[in-house]
Amino acid sequence: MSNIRITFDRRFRSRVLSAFGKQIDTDGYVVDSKTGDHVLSREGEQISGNDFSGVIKGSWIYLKSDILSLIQYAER
Amino acid sequence: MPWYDFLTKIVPKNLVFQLKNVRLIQLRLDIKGPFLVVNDNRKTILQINPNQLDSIRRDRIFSQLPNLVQSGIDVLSDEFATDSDDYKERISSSSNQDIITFFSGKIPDSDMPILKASLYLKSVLESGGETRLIKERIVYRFGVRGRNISNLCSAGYFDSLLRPLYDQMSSTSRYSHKKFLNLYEEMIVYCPFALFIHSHMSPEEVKSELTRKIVAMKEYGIQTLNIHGIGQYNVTIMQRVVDEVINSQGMGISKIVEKVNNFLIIRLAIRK
Repeated sequence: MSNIRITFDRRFRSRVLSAFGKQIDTDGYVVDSKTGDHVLSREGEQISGNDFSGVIKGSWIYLKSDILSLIQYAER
Repeated sequence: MPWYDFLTKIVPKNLVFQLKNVRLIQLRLDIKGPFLVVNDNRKTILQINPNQLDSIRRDRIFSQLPNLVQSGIDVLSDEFATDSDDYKERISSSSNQDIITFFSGKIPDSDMPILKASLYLKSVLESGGETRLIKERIVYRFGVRGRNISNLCSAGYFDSLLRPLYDQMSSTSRYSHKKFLNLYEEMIVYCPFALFIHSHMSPEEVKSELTRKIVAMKEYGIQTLNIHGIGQYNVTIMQRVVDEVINSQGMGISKIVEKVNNFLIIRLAIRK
């Protein structure tokens, strides 16, 4: 884990997702831009655009603004 | 350092010398110019407003994010970063670590994340912070069990009741962990000695729940019942409903009221 961190204003969510080949679909969920497959959190759950909270290393783990994700991220 | 090489191509030359000290890069919309270097708590922060940049540099910033993540840099929303730092700081207090260490291996593993989330909520509550969203997230993720554990934790029952209970039970020769777990489960699921008023409860629901608990007190010989309320709305309902229910029960129940700001605890005890 690096000692540097990048944070983004939530209004940049779509641009950040686009950089990883993802987007928010019409139902408001994060999906792969090419395949349309839902992007899942580490717990195997769909991620709404509002809940999308970032990306970390590990085949790109997508974070949700969820209390369990917060605890797991903080304790890694 | 991939991030350093990438930034030297983005920032103006007069900022390059500060890059080696940067520990946080913030993509923001609220700074006037494209770049601002801030020193905060001995940490150097580079703030970038991508919308103030030309399209080439703006695109370069976002297109580099996957490489930067691959190199081990976390890319997080502002709120998630702030919340996770806050959680880390609060959960690392000696009192919280003491509780976590004590109950680890003694309560179901699946309850440990709930306990940790609850200790975080308690810490925010005690410092006067806003807890509504944290509580909602606990209930959303962990359901009624999450609500019950966080209520018990916030009211201090893990330390004041469950811990001494375990110590007492485990010191006897007939102790079995299963017995403790059964009792723990009853406390978490039924909370026989406490009632927590939350904002989704109508006065009728409070009355019904309180009546049920007082009847259980009589039936099971529970001597005390503590009613907890936080926030003006809940406190008002409690004060209105409790006397009404006690009077209707026709048995000697004494009442002690403790009010601190918007916290109210009404302690009921069966008069002997």
